[in-house]
Amino acid sequence: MLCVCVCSTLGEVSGHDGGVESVLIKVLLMAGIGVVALLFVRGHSTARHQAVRRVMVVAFAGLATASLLFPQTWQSAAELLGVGRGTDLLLYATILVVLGFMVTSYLRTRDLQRQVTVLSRRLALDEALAAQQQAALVAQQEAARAALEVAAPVTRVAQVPPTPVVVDEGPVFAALPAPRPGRWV
Amino acid sequence: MVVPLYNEAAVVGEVVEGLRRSFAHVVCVDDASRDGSGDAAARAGAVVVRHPVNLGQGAALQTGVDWALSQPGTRFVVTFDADGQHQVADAMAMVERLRSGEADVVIGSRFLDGRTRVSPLKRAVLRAAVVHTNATTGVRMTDAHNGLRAMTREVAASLDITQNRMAHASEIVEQIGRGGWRWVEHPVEVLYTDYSVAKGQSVLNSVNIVTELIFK
Repeated sequence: MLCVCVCSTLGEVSGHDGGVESVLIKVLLMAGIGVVALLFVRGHSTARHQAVRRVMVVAFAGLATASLLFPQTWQSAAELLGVGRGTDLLLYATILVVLGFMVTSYLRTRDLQRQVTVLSRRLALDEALAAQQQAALVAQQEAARAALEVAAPVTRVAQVPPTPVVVDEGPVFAALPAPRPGRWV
Repeated sequence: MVVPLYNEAAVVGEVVEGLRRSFAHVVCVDDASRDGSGDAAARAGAVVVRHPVNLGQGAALQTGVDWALSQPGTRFVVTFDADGQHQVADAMAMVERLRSGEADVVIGSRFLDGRTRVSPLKRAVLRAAVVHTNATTGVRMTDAHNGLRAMTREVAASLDITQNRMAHASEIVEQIGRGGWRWVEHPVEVLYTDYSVAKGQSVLNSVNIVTELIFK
């Protein structure tokens, strides 16, 4: 869609100026679109891609500052390339950047989605396996107990209630100072 | 028996019970349902593998296949939809064809006999899907988006479904074609109950499928 947009505005531009110069911008923009398309096909982001992205962010900041300080550079660049006005050139550049941003963020989202899938699947399978093993263990114990019951009915030993452990707290109390009646009265 | 499951609490119990009468091992992959579908399936006697977040039917299928392969005794893997549109008898017949050694993969097709009634629009969309799948995968099938498939352990192990959402059906066909497996189609009945029609694939969803296939 964006490509269509670029092309249609380009059509207008060449209508205005005609001439050989407009070919230059066409070639440049097509190369830009080509690079974006290549990104899309190449797919996976690597450390090199990240470095390129960072360089581009720095370049973008530099260009933005430059165009604030010297707004007429866009105009002269536009004339050089055969585009009528500086704002038009800015528009084309923006469209290309947006296109590139769309593609890279799509690719990153897709990679993330794949990672999430692998992780969740691992988690789900591990949980289910653990549950299965536990169920098997419980069943095994139940079976063993049932077998024991059958082999030798357990005569249950009368349960003696455990003698409570009494802690001798004497010294603790002895260590405390004796209450002094009447102090707060 | 692999059943991908997402928000089907109303029917999944019945479906699992029906399956359990004929198949010993049923695994439901609960794709983070919000209506207690997983518990319903577990009560009915299925092993439930739960995705922590919703990933889509393709992901659920792959998880279920992984589970089946992790079980030592698995010889055949059958995928079966949770909404009750498939018939257990069809699944059994398909496994029988695998067991006879006739093929490595048996794929259900609703267009091979007159049992299934399909609305004209849905038929057109499914036909388009078939034309697309046949054109891109080189496998000539009559029904590309049928959730009922039976395959041997070897075929299941070769599957690698990366399309999380609905485009996995074409992907499976493609991988079967590329793997060079012997496949046959088996006539199955797809029962469009009011429930499955209300829940099932809207025709509009085919837009999503096409998009996913193009930008895979």
